[in-house]
Amino acid sequence: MAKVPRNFRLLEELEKGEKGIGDGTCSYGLSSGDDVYMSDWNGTIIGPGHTIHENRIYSLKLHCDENYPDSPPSVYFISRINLPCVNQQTGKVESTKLNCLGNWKRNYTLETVLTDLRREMANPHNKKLPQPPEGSSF
Amino acid sequence: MEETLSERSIVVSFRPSTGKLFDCSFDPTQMTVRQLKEKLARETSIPADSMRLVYSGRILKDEDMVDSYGVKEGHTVHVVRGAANQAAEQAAANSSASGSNSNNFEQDLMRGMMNSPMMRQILSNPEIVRSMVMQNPTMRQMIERNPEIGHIINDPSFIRQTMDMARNPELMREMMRNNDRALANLETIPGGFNHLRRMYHTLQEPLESAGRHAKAANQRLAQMLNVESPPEGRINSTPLPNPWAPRNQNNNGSSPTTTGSSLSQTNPFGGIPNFGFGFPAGILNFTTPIGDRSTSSTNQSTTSQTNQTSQTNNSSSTTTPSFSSPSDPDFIRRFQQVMQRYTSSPQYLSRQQMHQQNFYPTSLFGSPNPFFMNMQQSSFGAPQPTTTQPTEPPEIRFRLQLERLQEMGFVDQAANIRALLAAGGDVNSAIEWLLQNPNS
Repeated sequence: MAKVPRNFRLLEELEKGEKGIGDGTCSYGLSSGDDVYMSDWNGTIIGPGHTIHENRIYSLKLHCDENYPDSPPSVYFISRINLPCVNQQTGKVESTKLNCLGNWKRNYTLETVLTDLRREMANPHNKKLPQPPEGSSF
Repeated sequence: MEETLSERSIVVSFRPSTGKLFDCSFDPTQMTVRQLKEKLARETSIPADSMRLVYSGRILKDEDMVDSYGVKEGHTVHVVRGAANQAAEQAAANSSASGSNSNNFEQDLMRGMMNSPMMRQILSNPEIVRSMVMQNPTMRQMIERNPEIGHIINDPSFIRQTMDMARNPELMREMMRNNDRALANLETIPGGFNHLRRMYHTLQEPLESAGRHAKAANQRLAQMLNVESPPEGRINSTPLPNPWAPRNQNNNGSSPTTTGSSLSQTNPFGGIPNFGFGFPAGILNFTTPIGDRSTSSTNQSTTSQTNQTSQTNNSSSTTTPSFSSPSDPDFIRRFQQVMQRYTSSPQYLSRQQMHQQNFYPTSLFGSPNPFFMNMQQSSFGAPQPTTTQPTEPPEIRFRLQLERLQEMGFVDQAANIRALLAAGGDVNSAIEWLLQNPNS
């Protein structure tokens, strides 16, 4: 079976991110336009409604190493957030505690990760968790 | 102005978190994020103060120009309603962070200046820029003696390009890198070195000699701009002087020269002569390496040519230890442009060299295309996977194409052959076929 190579995959994701194809709750793009390896990405998650995260925008950094999409990206929150799957010292999303990272599949994308994190925010156990003031960052 | 506003406008989709997607047309090079928000506030129910825009994983900051985020035709920006004061807080935090880095600061300053409406207006008119350059007597003399340089300065598109570059640090870096490579490539071509030498004679020498005569004028200018010469061998980390500052705030205490103050009074754009005078100021920095080179053997001079270019690259990002530093980045930018123009001039390049050059212009002035760069990189440097010598006819027939597919990361040889057979040997079609039939 022919696997879609990393570059093609990431280019496809870049286009999707720029054109805003998706459910519109998450946004992502390359951190720097001259990153030829397309490794470093910015992401934002718009806080889900009817939760403590409503009207907040969370910024994240995603790093796709050379094994992506065979292995999951590493994901860090820049905006401070109180979530069980997020390391409170570094902002790193613990891959063991987020389902889509722990059970990574090749057809998962950066958007999968962001929407999964958003679902985690809206999770009944998490949606009332007290949150640090908006604008603070790790 | 040759281009009207509407020609540069792009249509961008906006996606509010509640409500329907809508399109809006605007000119990203003429608008700050704040202005865009105000425009959008009229079309949505969200007031500009509590509106936040998200594009490509980034929150857009009010004071930035929209095009600094690379928003293009057909892209989508998310519109979110947030609390009013937080956006401002965040912007303040971000700007203080970027201010701590002097390099960024300088670039921001340059960009900020270039983005200011007044400068835009002035610089968008190539006539004005040209007359500014021509006002400088040394420049004028040089141009009269060297019609080749005159052509470049008379070319409105060149001037516009230079200004666009100064506005966009990313593009700037890209250009610098490409210029280095172009020079290196030129040298590897038989006869390329001779072209470089000729280039040096027709272009750099006049620039240099023009600079030599201007030393006195240059010192006057430095005084006028409140610049004091920092000691040699130390990095000049002091911020750029404010050419608009009143003369009596002269920080080194020396009284201003009469020419300086009268100039600043008669010229409402006090800082603008800077552009013209900036040339000789920068050139003085080059004199030492150039002198060395002309006495050294031909082979050495080749390397020093490249060294010098990389030197200019460095000095554009760090401040050079010389009193001419305020005008330096500007000069270097122009100079690089001149060189670039020159190296890609068909007059001086054989057909073979043109072929080599063709790589660059495409990526030079368009937005940096990560994919293209990737391909280029892999074809230049990456170790090529050794393919086992095929014995079957299609494998031999498509050997080159197969290698290319392998380099791009399509590792399944059998699928590649199928794709190439299906595509009749055309690599692009084969890639399309492979992407459409991932399970083949």
